[in-house]
Amino acid sequence: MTLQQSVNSPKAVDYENAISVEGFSHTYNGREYVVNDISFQVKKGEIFGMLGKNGAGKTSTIKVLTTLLQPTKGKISVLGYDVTKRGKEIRKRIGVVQQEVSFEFTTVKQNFDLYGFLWGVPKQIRDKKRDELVKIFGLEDFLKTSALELSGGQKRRVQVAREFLHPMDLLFLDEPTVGLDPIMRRRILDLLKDKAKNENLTILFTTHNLEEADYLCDRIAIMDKGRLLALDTTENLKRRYGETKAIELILSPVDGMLPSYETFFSQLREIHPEVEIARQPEGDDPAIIIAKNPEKVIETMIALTAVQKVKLEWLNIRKSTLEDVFIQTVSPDEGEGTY
Amino acid sequence: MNQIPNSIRLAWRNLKVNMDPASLVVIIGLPAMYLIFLGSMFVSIVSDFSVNGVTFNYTSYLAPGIVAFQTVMAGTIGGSMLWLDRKFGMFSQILSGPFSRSQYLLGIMIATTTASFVGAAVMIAISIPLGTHIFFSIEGLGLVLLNLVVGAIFFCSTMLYIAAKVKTNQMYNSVQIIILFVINFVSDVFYPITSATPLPLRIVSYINPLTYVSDGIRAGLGNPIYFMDTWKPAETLVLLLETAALFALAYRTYSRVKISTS
Repeated sequence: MTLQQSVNSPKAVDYENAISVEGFSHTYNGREYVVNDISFQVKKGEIFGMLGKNGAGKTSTIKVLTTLLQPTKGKISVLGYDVTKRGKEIRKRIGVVQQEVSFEFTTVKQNFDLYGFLWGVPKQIRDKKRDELVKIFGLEDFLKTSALELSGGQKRRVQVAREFLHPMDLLFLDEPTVGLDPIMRRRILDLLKDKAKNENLTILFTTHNLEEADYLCDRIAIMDKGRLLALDTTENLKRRYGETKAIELILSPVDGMLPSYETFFSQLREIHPEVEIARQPEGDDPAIIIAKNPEKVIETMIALTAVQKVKLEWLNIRKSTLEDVFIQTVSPDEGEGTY
Repeated sequence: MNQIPNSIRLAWRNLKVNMDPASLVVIIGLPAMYLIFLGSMFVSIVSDFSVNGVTFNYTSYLAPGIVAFQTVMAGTIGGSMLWLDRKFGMFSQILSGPFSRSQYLLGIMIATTTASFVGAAVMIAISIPLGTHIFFSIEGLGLVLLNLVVGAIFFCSTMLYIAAKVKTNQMYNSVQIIILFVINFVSDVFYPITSATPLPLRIVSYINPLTYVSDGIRAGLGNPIYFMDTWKPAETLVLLLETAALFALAYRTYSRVKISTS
């Protein structure tokens, strides 16, 4: 008997897309829209990533898809059910790892036991699943520890792990790997890949970590200020922006004066208005310029160094990554918000 | 197990999470200490009194009051359940599962009422060796249970209202302590309300639902010859009306508790 068979799981209506969103907008105060007229579909068994800065509208979208919030506008169905009318049916069939860490102030073992109990998972099965999950998530030594005493990363592991106790068709994960070390992150990503591949689990995943999204997701939506700016497979997104190259550079002074990147970039853009200044230098990190014709841009840059009495201390040309795609797509940071 | 209703599952989970030893010391220990310490101290100061040929001591007066006090303690657990779930993220986590807001609330109410039953039974068990005269009857037991349920719902609603309104731990604790103090000591749990009681306190006592809960429980557990004469059904009616009003207020406020958007 599998876990899926052993737990009462209502039969869902037939549906083509696990998630279907048409013209969805959301506002909390009736004036400013945190999500503004977005549409997308997520296919069964797909791993769908949502990327965006803080305040892009990702969490609000997840709250609506998980029926915790009612949408202001739009037609949204999850697993074939209308989110505004059949919330309970949807919630019976989904798993949710929320952005905020949540836990019971009991031992880790009781956290698993109570969560499984709430979902109606029989004791024998939840014990078996718990034993499997604590191994995968490296929690064996913490079973008798109070969740209050765990570090942030350990609490996060408990939160993600317990979600796999119950059967589901669709899993929402809102920045699930925040605070986790790289090994644990990779382990979770591999588990998610395995679940999607072998159990046809549909996954909607938000993250700030673009390498994660690149590694995990079949398709990616990039959101900014409540709008959907790009939606495609990771390969297509990189290809679309792949005609461009990323030029990384660090300037240094010739006569002791600090180089002005602002003036340098301003003059560069007078000659090459098409280039994007993707990132200003930060500490030891170089500035990044996105250009379609890097050779010509570099020629100009070398000429400018003589005029501005600076030298190119470090220069590198590489293919654009998903991070470059993201930086090119979204607007510059204007302060952080959380929606 | 899968057939267990959601609200019962939630109630069981609430009890499991909140019934740790430290909480039990407060929930059961505090009223038990009132009963033991005040009962032992005042029984030698307050003269026994006789009604219709039956002699009562102070603990016989105090014990039903402390049983009623259990509804207040149980109510504080109810408020804490919501407050802690909000604080530790479990409120939105539970509501993203197969539970409705109403089931979540019902789960708290069931857990609160269960806690008040258990607490009441423990207080009765402690009071007997202290020399309390407890009179059991079917009608009396019915009256006790009714008052325990209604009292637990009233005080749970009060604490839920606070838990839904406040935003900080300090505020929640401060408001709870102040309310507990007024409810307990401006009632007839520890001493009867008489014409000698200052008028403002007498008015508050007669508004205070704990007065009606303790009167009802005294009538149910005490010697019917005395207490049934002093208790009036109108008291339970007032208690029911106050409870309905506060429950409606708490439900309205609870329904508006925002799910974190962080």
